Amino acid sequence: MFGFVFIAALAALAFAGINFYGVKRMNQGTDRMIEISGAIREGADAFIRHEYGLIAKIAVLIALALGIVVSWYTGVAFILGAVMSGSAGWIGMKIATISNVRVSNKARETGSIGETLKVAFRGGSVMGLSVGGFSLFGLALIYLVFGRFFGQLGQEQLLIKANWLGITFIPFTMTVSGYALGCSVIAMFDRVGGGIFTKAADMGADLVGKTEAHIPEDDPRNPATIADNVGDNVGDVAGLGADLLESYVGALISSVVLASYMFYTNLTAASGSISYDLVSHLLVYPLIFAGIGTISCMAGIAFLLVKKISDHPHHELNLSTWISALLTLIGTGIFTWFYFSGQDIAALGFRLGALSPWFAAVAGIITGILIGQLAEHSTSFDFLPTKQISEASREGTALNITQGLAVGMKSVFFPVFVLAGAAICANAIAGLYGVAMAAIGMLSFVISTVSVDTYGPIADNAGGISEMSKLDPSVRIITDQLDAVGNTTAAIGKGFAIGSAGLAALSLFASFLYAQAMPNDTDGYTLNLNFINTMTLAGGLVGAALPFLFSGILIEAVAKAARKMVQEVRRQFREIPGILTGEAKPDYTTCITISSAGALAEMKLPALISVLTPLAGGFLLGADFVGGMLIGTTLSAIMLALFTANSGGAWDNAKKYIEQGHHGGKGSDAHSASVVGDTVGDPLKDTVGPSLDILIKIMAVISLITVSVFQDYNLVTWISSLIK
Amino acid sequence: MSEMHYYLTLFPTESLIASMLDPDKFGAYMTTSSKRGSHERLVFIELDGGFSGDFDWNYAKERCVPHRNGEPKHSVYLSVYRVLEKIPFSAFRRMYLTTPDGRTLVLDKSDFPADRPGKPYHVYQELCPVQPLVVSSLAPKAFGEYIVKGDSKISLPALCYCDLKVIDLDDLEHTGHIGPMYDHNLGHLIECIAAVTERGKVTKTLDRTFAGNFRFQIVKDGFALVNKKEKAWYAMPSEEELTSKYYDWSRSAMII
Repeated sequence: MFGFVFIAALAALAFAGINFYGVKRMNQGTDRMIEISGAIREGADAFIRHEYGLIAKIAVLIALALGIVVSWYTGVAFILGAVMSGSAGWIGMKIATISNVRVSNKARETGSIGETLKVAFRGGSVMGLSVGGFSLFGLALIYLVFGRFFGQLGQEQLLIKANWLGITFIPFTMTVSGYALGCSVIAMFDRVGGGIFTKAADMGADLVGKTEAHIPEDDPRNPATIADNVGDNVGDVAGLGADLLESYVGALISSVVLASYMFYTNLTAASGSISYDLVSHLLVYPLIFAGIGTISCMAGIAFLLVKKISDHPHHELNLSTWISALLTLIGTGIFTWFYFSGQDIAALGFRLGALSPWFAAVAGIITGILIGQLAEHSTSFDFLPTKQISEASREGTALNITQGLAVGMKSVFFPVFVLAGAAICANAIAGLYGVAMAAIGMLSFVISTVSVDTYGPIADNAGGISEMSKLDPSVRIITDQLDAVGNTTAAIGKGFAIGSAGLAALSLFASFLYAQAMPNDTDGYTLNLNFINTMTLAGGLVGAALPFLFSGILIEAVAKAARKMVQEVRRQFREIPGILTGEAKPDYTTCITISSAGALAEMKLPALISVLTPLAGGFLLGADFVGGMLIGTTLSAIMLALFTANSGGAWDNAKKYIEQGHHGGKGSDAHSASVVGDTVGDPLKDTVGPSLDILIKIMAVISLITVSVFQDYNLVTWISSLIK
Repeated sequence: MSEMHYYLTLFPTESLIASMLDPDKFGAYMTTSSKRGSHERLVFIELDGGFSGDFDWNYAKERCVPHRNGEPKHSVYLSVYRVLEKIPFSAFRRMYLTTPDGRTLVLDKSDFPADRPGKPYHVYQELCPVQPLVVSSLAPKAFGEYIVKGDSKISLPALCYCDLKVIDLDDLEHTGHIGPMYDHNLGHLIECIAAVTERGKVTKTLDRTFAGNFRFQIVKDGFALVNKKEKAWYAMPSEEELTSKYYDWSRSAMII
């Protein structure tokens, strides 16, 4: 079975390699196109180099701390996770900066939407396949090296053991948690850093270039325009890839940790105990499930790349995704049936027989689709909510903002309702393991969703290059059409990320409670979190407030970097005469440096908050406080993530609707109001929203890893012992 | 050595300027000069100079010379008040429309368009020498003639104006790119329309000065200049032509 997982992971990476070089071989177009794309590529490369240099230092420190306090293998797994996540983000960014100019050139050479879509999607698929391939390859390595070679998956090691500090845990759960934490920390830096970079550049380009100097979008006379395009690659591609890789791994390991603790805490149960054979199945099942998803997605991608493409990009992309999803469902369904048939699954709470975990995964897939559709309903201008924002813009900026807030807040309810239903449903079908499977199901065709999500920024960049290279307007029309489809698919992708984070957090939370089991808790273990307990309630309150603090810091960071960018663009217009007449070239490099420096300086604090808060809470106030905090953070972060993603998306599309010639169109008062709304929403949807789901999982995994330490060693316990 | 040009600026201010810049550069200089940072829209016409005794052409020749560093002289103002009325239309060459970011569109002189059946009213933006927004029952040519004829109290010796796009007032959603034209005082617009279509008024002032909100995207057919003896018409290219031939300008003018 492991062989299959390795083959799936390596096949995905090989397919990514083929597509990478397939795109790279294509013609880049005119000298001007090569020059502009070169500037974007250099800017993105320079930022990622600096960012990864900084992250590497922090990652080594965290790995050392984990190695000393928990175990050496947790530290090593952390590094492996960081490397896998970093590699996926880096390769995604590379292919995006290679593809953008080739997409533009394909549109120039062929004038065909279908042919151009193929290049953009081939580029996007490199990111998707890298996310799936690297995450699965890393996990397979963990299973092979630590699980098999070091015997952590053996019956004698699936027990709670004590380390040299007396801290107790099941070794394999610490290994996979370390791996997930490595992925999460990189994702946090990539998302936060990329988010700050891209929004600072975007706001600088818009607020001065467009609003003050009246320069159109992607005009080469705008000093911040190259930085804006660099931002698309480091934020929307590298950040997104690392984010979804983290979500995917988080969902996979949550089921593994849960299964391990369920096994251990039922070792000597009089009835309904879980056999070693069954837990072995449960531990490997998510990987094979993911492997089948990987192969299915490869088929879906290949289908789109080899078929004759129509001029309806949305239809083609959907078709590829649905083929991937359908094959995943069929493949995993058949596999699940054979895999669990004959197993004694009663103790797990599997109520629909051998197919129970599969049904739970299907519930997750349906939930993901529903959340995505609800996100589209709230953010697309084909539907009433966004149209209402456009209409309210006629009455001025204040009402645009007010209506956008209303749409964003209302948009939270139904996705959360669906998520709650999914949790209940998955739990009813297959117990807590089913909840974890629902999260895995939601992300089982992540390769396809990431491929489609990455295609969007590539098309966006291609439009920028077409504009800056003065290509024929027909080229821009093609890239604009492709970009418009990308906006919709991005909203759906965010829905999957947030939804899966909620479900994964729930199973990680259950693992957190299980992880407080003592070595003698082998005769059944009741998960218990009492919200009447003051400590838990206090933790809940603090936890619920945390995403607001985190979001505020992020928005402030974007604003700070954006202000510097605004000042720089103004300075260039003032001090470099001839920029607007085209006689002088703007200083693009300084703008890239400002965004880069702003992102690198500001990304540390939010990332540290996510890592340090559960530690501080745990070592000061104990496990009950952290339990409450995790619940509080998860609840409020999900609400905030949905609110920020949907309100930001709705503001953006409300502006786009006006820019299509509605309510006065460009230059109208409604347009001015919608530009302000879009600017307010920008850091919400592209910096805050995507970072919140990572916050939830980092906090959950950190708490899971350290709970066995701080449940015994904390300030409250120490003071209590002194008083006694 | 750069050639001397004479420009009649019609919008936002009326003036006669001598310059060593060709029209494109003159438009960009006037709208985006970093020192002023005005970012205004500019409408101007290039003229054949030396046509009458009203302007000091010798002053222009003396002052409009290259700077010591060899840079061409950007602008020498010859007159800033009641300029249009003193210029024979035979001196008009082409008209130029410059966007706030300095991109210029050239319009050629052509015949006045024939009256076409349509709505029973027109909306005009007067650009020079005064700048009100007016609703009228008269077609473009007749409107200009009416204003300069002198029969009414509201009369001017010469006028530059353009006809504006009229939208379906029952559908304020699918408007196209028309800028802030219909964002304010819609009730008054409806009253003005009623005044010219139902109560027989020839013209009705919608806004005494609308210059700040004027956008090229709202211009319908073109720009007209009239005085008691002469008329000139500069036709605006169609939206398709603007998109295909003048893409950059159209984006800057927010037409696409």
